[in-house]
Amino acid sequence: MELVLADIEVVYGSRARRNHAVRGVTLHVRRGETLAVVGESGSGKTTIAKVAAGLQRATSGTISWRPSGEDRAEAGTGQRVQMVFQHPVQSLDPSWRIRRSIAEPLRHLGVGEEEADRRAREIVAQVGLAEEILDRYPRQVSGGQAQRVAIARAVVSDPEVVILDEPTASLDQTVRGRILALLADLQKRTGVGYLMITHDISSVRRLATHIAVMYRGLVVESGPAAAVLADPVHPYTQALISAVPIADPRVPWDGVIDLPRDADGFLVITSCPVPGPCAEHGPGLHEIGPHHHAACTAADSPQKAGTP
Amino acid sequence: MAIVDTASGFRITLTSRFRAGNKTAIAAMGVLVLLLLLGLVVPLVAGSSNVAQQYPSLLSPSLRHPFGTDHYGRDVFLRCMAGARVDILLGLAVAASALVLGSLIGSVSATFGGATDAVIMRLTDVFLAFPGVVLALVIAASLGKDPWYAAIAVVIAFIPLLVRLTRSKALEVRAADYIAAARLSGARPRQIAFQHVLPNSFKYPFVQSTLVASWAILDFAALSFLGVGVQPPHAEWGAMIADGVGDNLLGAWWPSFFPGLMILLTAAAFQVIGDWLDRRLQ
Repeated sequence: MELVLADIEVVYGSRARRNHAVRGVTLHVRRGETLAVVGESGSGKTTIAKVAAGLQRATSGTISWRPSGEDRAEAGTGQRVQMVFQHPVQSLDPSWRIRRSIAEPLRHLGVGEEEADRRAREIVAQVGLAEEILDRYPRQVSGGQAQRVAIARAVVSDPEVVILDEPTASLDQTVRGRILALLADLQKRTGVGYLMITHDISSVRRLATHIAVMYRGLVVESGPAAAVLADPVHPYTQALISAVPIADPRVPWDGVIDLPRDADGFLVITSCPVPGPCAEHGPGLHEIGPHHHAACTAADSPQKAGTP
Repeated sequence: MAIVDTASGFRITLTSRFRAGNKTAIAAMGVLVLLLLLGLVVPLVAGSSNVAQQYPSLLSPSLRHPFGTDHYGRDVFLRCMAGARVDILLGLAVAASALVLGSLIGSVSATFGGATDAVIMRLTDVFLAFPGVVLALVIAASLGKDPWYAAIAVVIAFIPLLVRLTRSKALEVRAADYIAAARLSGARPRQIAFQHVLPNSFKYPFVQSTLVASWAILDFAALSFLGVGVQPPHAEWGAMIADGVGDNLLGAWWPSFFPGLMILLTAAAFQVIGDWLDRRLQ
């Protein structure tokens, strides 16, 4: 099955002071693939994750499931969407032992206690944890272990899609890599689809098959990860990617990202060759390459946006 | 600080402070249990002798009268023990009643929100605008001179505190990621309320209620001191202090000192237990 979010709008506030958190966003999350939604804080990516999970209502738009070529015979038996949160310890009930937290989705599916316990033991082994961890409380495990537990809980009921909300943001650098490798391994084995919300481009490089770049509630560029990362078209995507430090001692880097920002704290796109026309709603996404879309009027021009 | 490896391989960090806290809490529980047992047993054995004016007045503490006698010739020890039953049981009853009612109203406020929440919170604000003991005094005085009315007044005075605490904790827990995870796991609203929200928000008002028990004893003593709590000749620590204040001028410190000491010990014991519970439940 394929999760389709079509033309999603989320508006906060009263009529007098409306804040468009998400504006007409359409996303497809397919089994076996990872769609990374990237953007800075306030771009609407967490809101779209909550809408996809059903934790927040969209003001307008539709969320549906569409059959895809990767469907399994037993699809639809479990919870279709699960989520891995940014702060792993806070996503586990502090008064429950980990065994109970992992088994919770199974119990709500009507799985018996013994079977749920067997599957909980099986899944902790799959995420690289010792069985003893099942008897601990969340406060008794490290951040990395807690995130593995959260991942185990998310996949134990065999969902179609797992939403990863900044899954490595609260972890130290050494643990990040292992968690990303674990997620990739689980996807390979189970075929689960990921909707990854992140502002960490290095995580995107490792896990994403597709990317949607969000800016002020709009998707300004989307497409296969390789194409978007190698040949970003929209000036905002270019700014985001250029802000990532390069792990090369020959490239000078003072550790400071000092890009201009407006009064709302958003990045100001200074490299746009045709400023003005897309200030409000943008020109809308249009295809600029195979499955590669960008909301940029300059994208079709011989001289691409942002290129000298 | 010591690190202990258990059989399961799980490492527990024990601090000397935590161990010291355990010992203090056990001592505090011991004080409360001892006072309560004495309060239950001594009046049974001594009958109504705590109100009988059968000894010479203002005898200083001795082996025969460990806490001396008051100016009516009553044994202060027997009266302190009779007062222990009243004050400790009353402190526990007030704490339990305020906890149940406060948690219930706070949960309703957090769950329903909107107009219900607004009305409950504004009423709470009105009650919290007055110092607890003044509020209890006004309520007790308007209800009449009866220990039960005084107890009801103290309960009413403490309910707003627990309503506020329960509501704020319930709102905090409801917004937690593990509640969102439970919803995604297929938990129904009732399961979320009883399995996640209640256990995680109830522990804070529960800890607070042990402190309420100590404050209730102090407030009840104050009400009795002011004449709206337990009425003479029945024994109650606050009323005994009120009775004994004048004797201080005659150099007899014991009729007011020992009930004061009982209040201090009991209130401190409840506070220590509250602190210990707070650490344990964290």
